[in-house]
Amino acid sequence: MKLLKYIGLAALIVIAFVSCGRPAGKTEITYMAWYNTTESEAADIQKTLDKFNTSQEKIHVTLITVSRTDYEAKLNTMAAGKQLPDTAIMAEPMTIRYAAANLLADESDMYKPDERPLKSLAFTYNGKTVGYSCADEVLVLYYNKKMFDDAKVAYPPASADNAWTWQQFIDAAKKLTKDKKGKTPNDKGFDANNIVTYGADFNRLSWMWPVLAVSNGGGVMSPDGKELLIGKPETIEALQAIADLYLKDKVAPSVGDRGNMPSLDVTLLTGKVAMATSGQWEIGVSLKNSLKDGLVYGVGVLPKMKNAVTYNTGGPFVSFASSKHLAAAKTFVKWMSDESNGWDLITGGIWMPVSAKWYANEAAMKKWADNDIHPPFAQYKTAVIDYAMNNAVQVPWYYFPSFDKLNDLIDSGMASVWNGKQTAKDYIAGILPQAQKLFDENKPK
Amino acid sequence: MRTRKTRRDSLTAYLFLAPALLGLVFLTILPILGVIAISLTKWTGLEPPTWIGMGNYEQIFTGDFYFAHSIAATLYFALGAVISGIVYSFCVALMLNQKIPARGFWRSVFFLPYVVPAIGTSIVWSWMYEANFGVFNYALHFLGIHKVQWLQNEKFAVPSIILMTVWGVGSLIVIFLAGLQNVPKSYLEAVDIDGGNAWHKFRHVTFPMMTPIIFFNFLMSMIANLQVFVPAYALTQGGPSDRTLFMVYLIFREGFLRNNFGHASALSLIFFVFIAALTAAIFSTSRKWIFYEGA
Amino acid sequence: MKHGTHLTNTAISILVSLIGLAVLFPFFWMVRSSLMSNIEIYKYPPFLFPQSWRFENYPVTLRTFPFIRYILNTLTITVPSIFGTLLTSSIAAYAFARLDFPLKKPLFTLVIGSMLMPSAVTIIPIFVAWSSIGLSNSYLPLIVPAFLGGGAFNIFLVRQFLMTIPRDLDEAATIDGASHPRILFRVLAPLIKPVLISVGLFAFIVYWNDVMGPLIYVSRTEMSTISQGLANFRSGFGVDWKAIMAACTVAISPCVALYFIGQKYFIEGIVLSGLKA
Repeated sequence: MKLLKYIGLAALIVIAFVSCGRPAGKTEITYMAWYNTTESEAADIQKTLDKFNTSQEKIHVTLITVSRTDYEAKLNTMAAGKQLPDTAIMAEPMTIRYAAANLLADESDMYKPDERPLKSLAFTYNGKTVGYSCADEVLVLYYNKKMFDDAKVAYPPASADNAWTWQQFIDAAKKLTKDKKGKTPNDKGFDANNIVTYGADFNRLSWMWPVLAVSNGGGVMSPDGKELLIGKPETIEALQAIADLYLKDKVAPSVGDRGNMPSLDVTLLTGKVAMATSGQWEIGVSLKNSLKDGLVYGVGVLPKMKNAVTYNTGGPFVSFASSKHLAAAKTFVKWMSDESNGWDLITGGIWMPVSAKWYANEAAMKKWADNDIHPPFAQYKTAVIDYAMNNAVQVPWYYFPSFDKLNDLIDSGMASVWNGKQTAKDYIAGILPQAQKLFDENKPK
Repeated sequence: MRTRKTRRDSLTAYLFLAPALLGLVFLTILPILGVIAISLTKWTGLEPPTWIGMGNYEQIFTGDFYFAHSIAATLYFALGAVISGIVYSFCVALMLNQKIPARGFWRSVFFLPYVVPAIGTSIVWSWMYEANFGVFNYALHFLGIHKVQWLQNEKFAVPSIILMTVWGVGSLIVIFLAGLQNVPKSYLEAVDIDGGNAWHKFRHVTFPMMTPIIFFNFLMSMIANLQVFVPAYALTQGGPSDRTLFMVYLIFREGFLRNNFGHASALSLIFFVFIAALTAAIFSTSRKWIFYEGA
Repeated sequence: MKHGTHLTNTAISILVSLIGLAVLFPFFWMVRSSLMSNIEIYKYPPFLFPQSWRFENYPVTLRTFPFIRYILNTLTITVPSIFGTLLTSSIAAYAFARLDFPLKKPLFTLVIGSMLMPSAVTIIPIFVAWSSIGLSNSYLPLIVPAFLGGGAFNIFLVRQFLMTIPRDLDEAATIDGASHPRILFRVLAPLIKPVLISVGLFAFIVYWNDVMGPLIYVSRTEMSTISQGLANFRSGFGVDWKAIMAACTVAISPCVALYFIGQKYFIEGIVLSGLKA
């Protein structure tokens, strides 16, 4: 009798659990996302999912969060264990590797032509689109206006048509660089060991610096992923030019010094660096934080060597081919990439919209970019929006399966170039055979 | 009667040993065979493996230079950390072996870093190594030396991690101290009678008596430090320029970040052979300098 | 002569204190930084002590650093692991120390030999095995090994300690008809308590501080261990050093507390491992 009671109770509990966890009749899918800073970010993502869940009659999505640091490792262990979620935001360098292993669902048919995200945001493999970036991001040049005013240097141009040449960039940087006694590299007795303000910082992250090589007609690889360009003289020239900012021109911090600087807003605010290249996202991630402390910054286009070019990037939303509910997964991914669901991030300066309609005319652009967080609209429009629309090329991880492996190799001794122990030419010559081999093994077939 | 007991004993013994033997099979023997097998394949972990024979080994020895970079970094670190760790802990133990006040207290202090989570140690030290506001660079500034990018600099990254590691070797001090306390007083008194000084005592009694313990500590910390992982994972990600691309970190990176299980397994196996060879070499030299009492 | 010794001892005391203070310095620096404001922490030259002791840094940090949950997660791994280690290493040690059976010697050599095998070597096949049975995203791969002998080193330690206990006791118990488990758990266990406590404490340190294991097997944020949580917090918070140092202080303190409580056994365990080997 007693036993029966217990069994009954246990059954009740089980039923309660099952019915709690699973809203009746809904298709269950999972979405995996990372958080950068704190788990409160995860709570924000959950809010978005809640919105989705209440809007859907037939689908219920559950969130899996993993910290950004461990994201790649986790996804790989889940893939190896055949426990991939239904959908995820993907780490950029792994996307095409997963596509090549047929793990990602084809998203080519997901959108009607007029609602499709920008073509530049498509991750493609063998003609299949496996995902679109969650946001559009481009590399631009930020600067502290006050420092330019004080040094009586013209602001960096805000439109690609007037982009600075590399020499103009260096000239401006030289006027902005100051040592302890206020001397610039143009003055006699300039003390390069005691620089207080660096005129320029061209970001030396392994995926960012090659943008200058692209501008020079080189790059890491051709945009169709068929040819390795890292050994081209144009690439080497650009690499050396960036290294020389510190080595020869004395306008940039050493790579180690740069690594120790605080976030971009503080670096600009405290006058450590007068202008620096980075991504559009900095507006919302970092720069907005120092506005209240009096930071007045501007945004311009990158300096060019031959052509005015920038990189565009952004992690994609994907659905996994292994999903048992692929239709539901795709519905969710499509819903996620709709701007209204990332609207705070967009108006907050972290993301740019993904679909053409938000770039169609000035009124549409103003809806998301004309606010207190973004730089003055006129400037932002030409230096960021038009630049992104007309001058952006994809970072190779949009189409190359193992861009991270190539980066490991390029990075394996790069400090010797940044520190001047080796010329760019010698260094690249040393890694080229390996790079070629790696490239040939991994390039899309 | 007797045999029944023996049989019962054997049965109990195997029963008692069952978990350990299962561990031996499933955590050591089979995995070693597994490493060998996987190392002969190209396997991303995303798709089924394909057999490629010695391809991964060829790649490691003739292809990429991570392996060379990694062995150099690992050896540099391990040798540096082991030698400075042994010297430091032996010296501290010698001093603690004297009649000084609050000896027990200081012993606890020296041991304390040993219990701190490695991640915690790494993070706290990275703050002290921070270039602009870190306490180390302030000290340098005080001495009139230019600031140093401790962890970002090719030259200083490994020594910085060595210093941090040496800080955590409290256990060696405790072992040495216990060993020193076991050195028979009569031997030391004999040196006194012969008119020897403190150096003679050290040279002819203390040190020879301590050699087996030094050897043990050397071997154990060598094996442990060759497997260094946390500083590379938490602080440097193998950089700058592969200077901290320690073997275990490389295995982790290739296996779990770059979807290269085959390659990572080949690295694991080579690493195993490398450690085994090194251990054997250390053992073979041991006879020359270890003093065995009564031998 | 006597005077000379006295002088040397004073010099040594001073030297030991100086090195000791240097060893304590990182702890001091951590706590000191955790109690500062952002302005103070970035002052140059740095202050030795905070000007305004900002204890509120802790509650603020703990709001984004769910310390309690990390501790509970870590205990979920650590407690069963300690139990498994103690149980399986002591029964194995008992077999090797007290029982006669065929193949004893080669088995002992094999078990002890596995001690020299670096654990990093077998990460991949063990991971592959767990994932092939669908358990790679769970705590089990972290706990189960503790129940499979608990590490050769621990077996060795307990065995060495058992060898020092006279056999008279268990022989007397055998005559009284006690079984082997009874002899081990009732008669011998109290006598080898020091070594068991040491093994337990070291198992605690090993499992509590593990980085690689959780990195590979624990995927969801809400399952993170304390080390994982700390690493993630650090990388997420980039340069907010006061918060990072507060998180470090919180994460390190259980180990430090345990160390001061169990200090005697820690030191005995270390001595044992160093001198008996």
